[in-house]
Amino acid sequence: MRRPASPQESQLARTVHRILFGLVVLSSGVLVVLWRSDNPRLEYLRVTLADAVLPSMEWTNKPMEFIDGLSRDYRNFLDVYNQNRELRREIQSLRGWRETARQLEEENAQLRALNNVRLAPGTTFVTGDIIADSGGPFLQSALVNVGALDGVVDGAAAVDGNGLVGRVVGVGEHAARLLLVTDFSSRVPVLIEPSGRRAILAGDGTDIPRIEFIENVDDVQAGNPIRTSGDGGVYPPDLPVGRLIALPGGTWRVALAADFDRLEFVRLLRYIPDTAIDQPGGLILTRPRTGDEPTDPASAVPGG
Amino acid sequence: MGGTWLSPARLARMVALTLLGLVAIFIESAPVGLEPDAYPSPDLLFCLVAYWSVRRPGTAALPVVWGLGLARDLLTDLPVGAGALGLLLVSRFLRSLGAGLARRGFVTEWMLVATLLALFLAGQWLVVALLLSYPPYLLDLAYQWVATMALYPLIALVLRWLFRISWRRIEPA
Repeated sequence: MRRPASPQESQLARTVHRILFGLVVLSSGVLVVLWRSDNPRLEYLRVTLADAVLPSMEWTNKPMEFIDGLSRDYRNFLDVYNQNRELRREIQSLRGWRETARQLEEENAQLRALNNVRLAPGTTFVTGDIIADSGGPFLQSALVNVGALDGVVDGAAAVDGNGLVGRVVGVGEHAARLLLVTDFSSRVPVLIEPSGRRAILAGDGTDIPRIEFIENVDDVQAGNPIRTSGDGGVYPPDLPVGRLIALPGGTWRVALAADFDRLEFVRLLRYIPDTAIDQPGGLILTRPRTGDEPTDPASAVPGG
Repeated sequence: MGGTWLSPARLARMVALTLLGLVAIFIESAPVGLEPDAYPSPDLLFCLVAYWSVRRPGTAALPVVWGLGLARDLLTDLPVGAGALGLLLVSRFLRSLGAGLARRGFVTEWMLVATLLALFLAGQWLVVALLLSYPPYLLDLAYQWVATMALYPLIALVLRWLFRISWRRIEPA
C-alpha cells in the first residue's frame, strides 16, 4: 500500500477494506451476544480451538512452569525449617489418628457386613494436567489436557487431592474446559456438617467464595466442614469443599480445601447418579429405557 | 488486489505476527497462579499488536489482528468478540497515526499505548457490566494495566532486536 498504486487499484483496496471492517465489527457484535447468552456453539468453537492448539500450548507451558517452579522452590526453601518442625508435629498427631482410623475401618466393615449396605454407585475418574488458565481477571477457568476421548463428560466435577476445584463446562476431543468454583458464575449446592444444613456455594472472584441461602444460620458455626450435597445431580455428593468462615456483618464464606496455589493435576469424576425418587410418577411408571443408561436394580422393579 | 499488495515479504511478516501473537497468547494462558487473587497476567498480545501497528503498520492486517484477538478471547475467556474488536480498533488507531507517532520518540508512544490500554480494558469492563454479566474487579484490571505497561518497553526491545526495527524510523512495509 505504500508504493504508489493506480488510483483505481487503491480505490478498490479501500472499498474492500471498508467492507471487511464492517463485517468484522458486525461479527464481533454477534459474538458478544452469543457469549452473553452462553450459546453452545461458542463453547464448541472454544473447545475445537483448544483441541487444535493444545500441543503447541503444552510446548510453551514447559518453560513457564519451570520458571514458576523455580520461584516456588525458592520460597519453599526459605521456610523449610519451620515446615519441618510443623511436619514433625503433624506426623505425631497423625500417628494417633492412623490407629483410630484403622479401628474405625474395622468397625465399619463389620457393620456394613451386618447391614448388607449398597454403596453409592461407582464413580470413575480420569486425571489431567492443567495446561492453561484464563490468566486475566475476567473469568476463573482452566483448560485440562484430557477430553471426550479419555472419557470426560460435560458437567464432570473436578477435584484435586484435597477438595472440589470446579466442573467441566466444555469438552473437546483432547481438551476440557473447567469453570473453577471461585468464578463469578459458579454455584455449587453444599451441605454444612455436622448439622446437615444445605446452602449454596457462590463464587465471587475471591479465593474465599460466599455461602448463600443457609437453611438455618443458628445451626452452623465457623469451622464447620462443608461438602457437596449432590442436589441437582451435577456434583456427586460428599466431595470435600472446605471449611466455613464467619465474617463480621453476618456473611459466611468458605476456606476452600483445594490448593489453588499449586493446582497442577486435577481429577475429573465420571459420576453416575444413584436412583433418585424425586417425583411421584417415578415410583409408578418405569421410564423408557435408553441404551446408555446405567443398569441399576431399583429401576428394574416392574412398574404399576 | 495487485501482486504488489501481497508480496512474499509482506506475507512473511504477517505470518511472523500471527506466530508471535500465538506465542503471546500461550504465555499469557500458561497456568501460573490459578488462585483467584493471583495477579492477572500482563496483556502480551496487546503490547505486540500495539508495537507492530506503529512500527509495521502495513502488515498489521485486519484479519490477522482480529483473528488473534478472537483466538485470545476464546482461549482465555474474555468477553468473546469485545476483546477482538477492541484490539482491532486500537490497532487501526495506531496505524492511522503510524509514522508520525514513531518519529515522536518512544516515551510519547508508550504514554499513548498506556492510554489506549486503559480505554481497551475499560471498554471490556463496560461491555460486561452493560450486559449484566459479572464484571471483574477494577483493582485487578488496574494491576493488569500496570503490569502490561511495565512490560511494553521490554517487548519493544525484543521485537526491535528480532526484526531490526529502528527507534525512530519506520520501515516500509
